[in-house]
Amino acid sequence: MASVELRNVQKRFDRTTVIRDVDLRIGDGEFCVFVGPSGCGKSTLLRLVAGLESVSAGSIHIGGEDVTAKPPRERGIAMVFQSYALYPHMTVHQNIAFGLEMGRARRAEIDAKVRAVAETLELTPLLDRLPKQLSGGQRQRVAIGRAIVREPQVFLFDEPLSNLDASLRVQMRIEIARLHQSMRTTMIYVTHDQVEAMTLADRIVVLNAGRIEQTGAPVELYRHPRNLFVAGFIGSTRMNFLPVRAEGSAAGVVTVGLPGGARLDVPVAGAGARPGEALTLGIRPEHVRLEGEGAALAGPVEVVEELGDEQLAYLRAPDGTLLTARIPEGARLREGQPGRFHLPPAACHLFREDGTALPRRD
Amino acid sequence: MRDDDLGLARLRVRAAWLFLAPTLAVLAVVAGWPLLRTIWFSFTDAELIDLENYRFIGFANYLEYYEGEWLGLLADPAWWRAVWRTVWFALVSVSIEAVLGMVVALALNARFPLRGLVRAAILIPWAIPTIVSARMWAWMLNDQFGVINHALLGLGILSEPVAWMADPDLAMWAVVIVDVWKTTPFVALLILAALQMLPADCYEAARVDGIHPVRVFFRVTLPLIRPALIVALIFRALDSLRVFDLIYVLTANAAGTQSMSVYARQQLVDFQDVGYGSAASTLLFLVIALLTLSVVLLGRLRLGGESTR
Repeated sequence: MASVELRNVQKRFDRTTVIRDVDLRIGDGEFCVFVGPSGCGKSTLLRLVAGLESVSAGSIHIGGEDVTAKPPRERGIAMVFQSYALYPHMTVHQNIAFGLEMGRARRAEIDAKVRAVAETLELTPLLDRLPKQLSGGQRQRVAIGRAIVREPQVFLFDEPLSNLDASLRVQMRIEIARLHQSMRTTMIYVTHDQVEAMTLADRIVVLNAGRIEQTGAPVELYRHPRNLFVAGFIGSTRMNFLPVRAEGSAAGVVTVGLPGGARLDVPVAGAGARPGEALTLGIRPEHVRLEGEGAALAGPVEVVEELGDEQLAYLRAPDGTLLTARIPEGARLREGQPGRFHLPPAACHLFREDGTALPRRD
Repeated sequence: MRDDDLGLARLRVRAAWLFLAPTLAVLAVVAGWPLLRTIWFSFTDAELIDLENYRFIGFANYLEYYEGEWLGLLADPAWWRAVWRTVWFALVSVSIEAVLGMVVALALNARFPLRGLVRAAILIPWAIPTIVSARMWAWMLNDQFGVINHALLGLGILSEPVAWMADPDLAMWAVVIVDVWKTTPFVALLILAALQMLPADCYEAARVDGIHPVRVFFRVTLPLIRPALIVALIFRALDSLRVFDLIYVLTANAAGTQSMSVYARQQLVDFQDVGYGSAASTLLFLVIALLTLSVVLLGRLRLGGESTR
């Protein structure tokens, strides 16, 4: 077990800068998830930690030791790849044992370790099979087994579940979470799926264009996104954004004018906004109400998506923005009919023109 | 439903035969007919000067007991020497080509500046017709005017010029060297193609796990490219068992370097003995067929079988 520290890490490929000044400390035993859209540099960052790529500037420390110039095998890491990276001509047993045979361990010792790992991952009946005879989930478990058996200080996962179908993904997600609970080893996990990030992470690192946008616990990112990007990225249904104008600002409250003329007093912490300032109001679809307190937006309901236990309703606001609401099933909204979306002030987020958030009270 | 399926299957089979028909017709004319004719001639006493008049003489060209003596191809020590010489040549040259081809392919698979240019350049020996390259090497190996003797003398490695083609052992090695020079690019190209199909992530996994590159080569790379390697070696083995032009240009009909093909040609053309020459050609065909079959069986190569992935 070990902490991982990145200090001012930069990575350039030719003239393209992929990682810009990343500073990050991942605690011992922490489950840290790098999340971001494709091309944001999250996989590159993981490969830098692994030593599969070398940094252009800055340094990487694992367990307090500078490993910047060290090859992967001296970093005490194990990695699980998106494509599993199993050796196609070796059985499950050979795949798991291959990384151990280097260490001059005795055959019986290796066999015992492989069997122990296979037992935890329920791979025992499959030990003599070839990868091509396994399902996607089983292959992924073999890849994880190959990492576990080496008893690394740090586990690296590079989008390990993205090649699995949806139900298997949920199942494997739970297995990985269970694994972390039992092993308590530092894990770094890369994904573009924010649900995986929310459910697995002790701490999420949101990356965008090679920069860290925000780091924090899942709930913190959900409640207090630091900027528009994080607000839009975290949350399983994307946050609604509405252009608004600040009309007044008192202690702890910013009054904004909504499209259509209604006014809303949004609670904020600290400094408010200048009157007349153009802001963006954000509200999550699950916080939109069909009735109740707060100002409302009226407009035609364009589409209602039935999800069984709930519905997603899309409403065209007076300024043309399409707003989404997650509403309980049975709500009487009809496609093409006028509707009203209420915005509870305490659930609203405000962002300045440069994208940064006004701090929220809770 | 079943009737429809069967009808569709029958239609597909018919289409397949239709597409195969031209190939089969051409094969029958250019391969099947000459082969059958050669086998037929091997049972006759035909002569090149008059191919219309011949008698069927059974296996006399192969083996015959005549006035207390065994005669025929199977009793001819010159034929057996040609057989063993050809097999030796095939084994030695194909082994060297496999090792060198692997080295070249691994080098060309690495990333370095001007790789495309080097990949193209390495193919040049393979692109030159054998007659031309054999002639070129014959001049280079010439005992009096050859550049090789000149260079070796200049470097002080030789004290007097060597007549490379005069000594049968030296001459066979010269033939091997020229063959290796010419066909290593072919082997390298096939291996390179296989190398490029290898899963890159397995190598990264091996790097992370700290497995030594030499071990990765023998435990991962070699098993994964084995099918391609065996195909390349079968191609090369067949070619080298039939070797003719290289030896004919370098040493003509010299008895000490005759391969099976050169022997057959000598009987058939120089000695005008079409029956006997055809018998040699037929045996050559059988030897190659048997060797190929055993290689395929021994290598347990599942041609057209399941792939490794």
